[in-house]
Amino acid sequence: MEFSQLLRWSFRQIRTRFLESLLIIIAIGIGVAVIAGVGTLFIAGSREFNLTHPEQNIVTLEAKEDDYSFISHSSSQTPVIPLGLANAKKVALTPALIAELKDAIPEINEILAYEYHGSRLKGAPRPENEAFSFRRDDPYSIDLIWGLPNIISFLGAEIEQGDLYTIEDFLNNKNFAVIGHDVAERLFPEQNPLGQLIEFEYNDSYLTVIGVLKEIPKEEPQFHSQFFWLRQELNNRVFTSVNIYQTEAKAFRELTLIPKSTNTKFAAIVRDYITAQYGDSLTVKSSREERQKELELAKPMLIFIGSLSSLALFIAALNILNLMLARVLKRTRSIGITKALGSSRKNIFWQYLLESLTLGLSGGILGLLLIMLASPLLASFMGGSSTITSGTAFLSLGFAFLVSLLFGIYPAIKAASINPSSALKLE
Amino acid sequence: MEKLNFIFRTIKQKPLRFLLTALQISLGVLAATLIFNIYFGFNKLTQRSAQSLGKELLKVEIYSEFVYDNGVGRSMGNHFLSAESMQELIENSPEIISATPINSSFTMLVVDNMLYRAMGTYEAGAAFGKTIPLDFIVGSFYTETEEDECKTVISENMALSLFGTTDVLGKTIGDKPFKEAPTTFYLITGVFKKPPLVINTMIGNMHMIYTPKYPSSNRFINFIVRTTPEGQQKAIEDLKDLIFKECGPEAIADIKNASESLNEIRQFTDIFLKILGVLAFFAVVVSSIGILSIMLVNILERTREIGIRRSLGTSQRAVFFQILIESMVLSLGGGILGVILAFIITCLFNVSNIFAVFNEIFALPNLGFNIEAVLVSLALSCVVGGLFGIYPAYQAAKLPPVEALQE
Repeated sequence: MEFSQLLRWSFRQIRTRFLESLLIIIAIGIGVAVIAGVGTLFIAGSREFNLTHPEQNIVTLEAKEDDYSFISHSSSQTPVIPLGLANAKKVALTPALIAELKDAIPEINEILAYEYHGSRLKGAPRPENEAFSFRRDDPYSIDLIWGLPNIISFLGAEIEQGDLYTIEDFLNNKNFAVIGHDVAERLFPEQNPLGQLIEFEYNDSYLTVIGVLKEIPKEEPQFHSQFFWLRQELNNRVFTSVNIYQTEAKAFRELTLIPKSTNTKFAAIVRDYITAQYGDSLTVKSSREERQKELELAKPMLIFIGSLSSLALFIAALNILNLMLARVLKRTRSIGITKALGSSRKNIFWQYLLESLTLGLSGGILGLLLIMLASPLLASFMGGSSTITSGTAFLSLGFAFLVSLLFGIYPAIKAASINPSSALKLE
Repeated sequence: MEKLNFIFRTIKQKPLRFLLTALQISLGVLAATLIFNIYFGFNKLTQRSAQSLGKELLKVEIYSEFVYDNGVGRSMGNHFLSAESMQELIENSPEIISATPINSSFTMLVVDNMLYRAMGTYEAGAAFGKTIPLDFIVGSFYTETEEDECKTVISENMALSLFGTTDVLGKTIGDKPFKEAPTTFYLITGVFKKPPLVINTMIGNMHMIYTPKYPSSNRFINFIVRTTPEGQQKAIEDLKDLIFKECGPEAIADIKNASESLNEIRQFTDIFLKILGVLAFFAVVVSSIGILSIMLVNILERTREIGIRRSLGTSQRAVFFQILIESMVLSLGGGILGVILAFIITCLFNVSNIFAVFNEIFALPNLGFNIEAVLVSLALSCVVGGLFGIYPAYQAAKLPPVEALQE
């Protein structure tokens, strides 16, 4: 028999016991819909976790003692992590180290070094009962970023008036400031900001404005970009070439290493160099590795949800097995007759297997239709757009195909091995 | 009785079919039992916690609000109660027994010249031990007179991580807020067990409590108040009055008792239980479809037999109930199998631990097997069997005997 004939035969069989077949198809459909739904949610979740975004390759370097990520990671099961010998010397993240890293690791495109600071303006009124010196809602508080000048161009900020400070200015402790658009309007309304002084209450420190940045427009949030929020706040920030709190020290808390290419091994290359030169006193972190660690932690939960969601499809597959066995039993006599009339074992085997596969695949298609109908619901649940991807669709169809194949083989073998003479004797 | 005999005979005739159907049901019931078990176990645990301490502990946070570009923010630290005014309140109000500030510190520890980053470290005076009930394995909380002497109590987990043993009384732990800072050594006076869930929810993970270094640690910004069980409401009013008097109208006091704190985290775990519940529900639905289809096949195969029984005088009603009971027995059999499977899984794996991936607070011991979960699941499988047996039973009952005999 040809394939088309086999297919027509199996459709006829499904039609003759329509209710039964429909029930199987619905069962498989629900199983596939659950898997596709959970898969869609996982994919929507992992999109926020976008590991392929180029910014995921960025590596940060900090002294192990300054790494507080462990504390914010409340899922950690141990109360302490070792940091090595207590009297080991701390490796300072200085401009000299930056130069050394740039020479030694050719994959590095740029190294950013910056720190967030903040101070109140000199002569600002101080309310009674005030315990803190700096507050975001306070018009006299200024957000500062002390750092190498390359951070400004890296963030995509452009100069509107004046100039940026140079690395020489930075190394020579020049009190220069490049101010954001909103800061300029707030501090120097209807004046030329260039050359003006900004005086702080801390230690009589002051900065000279040498440049004003263009206004940064509001953008759509990009959750996988670690610099998004900083870029959004640039209008309200002041870049400084001097650390107003530590005029002498020139060491940073953290270095940000930007790779030249999208080589995913970048973190490993940096780590190899750091371990060889400085032992385990510096932590090398990449956003990608952090995310992978988080995924690793979430694994027990994901496995639990995954197995629970595949349970429905498995139950539906058992249903196929059960009903196909019942059908073979019921049609023993007719199979015996077909065999006696010259139909081969192979033919009967394929007939029954194809019947299971048709049931499974129709169920799979029904499941995908169900999940497409339900996708607005899923989207509202995830609070974003989560339409089913073709990958998930194929995967769930593949699952449906696979289980109906696996659980269809045994009934098909059973049908094929019916002995015509004894089957014909059956009443 | 005769009906049951009949059902068992039909089951014996087709053992494979019965087994497969029971397996389908059992997998659905397994999923349901696991979820019910987590739900009931977690409920019991939180209720027990809240009953013991819910009427005695209050968590207070003083903050003020400010508006910025992206919404309203909370700023903490601008307003606080001084240690003196708190002391006065404790003396004047009979409802308030004691109070302690909760100051978590970011610090590093030194033990045997090794440096550690530590989690769950708090600076607190002896009032901490009086306010928060801790269960000590060895030693006890430091007293008021020892407050100036650099004493500390640590958790069992901390003792095991740092020293490998809980026999650590008299040993010292060094404290370094940053690497260049001098080390201050603290003498261990006690090792406490992991506190109950409700304490962890109100305070956070606790691993080390040490005597305060700076006077500012005695400010009451984020603090726990212990009240008499009857006087909680009065205590809340007293606290609100005092905060208004001391901090002014812009200070907001967020006062929660233990049950309210627990409900906050319950919202979080309940979302996940709901998702898991939906998945389990689908598994049960699919397995009940399995029952429906196999019962339809069953009556089709027995058309002749039903015809004979009808013509020998069995009523429609009797046939209906026979098929219905058969479906329920099948389903209940699967249900029992499912409960047994769930029992085995609960014994082998700590399923109640699944939330621990989100927060160490949920690293719970195995909550065990709940009889409620078993009863609900078995009832569920019975209902499913009954519900999905109705249609096949109705089909069987309305078969005209003469036509059925002609088949």
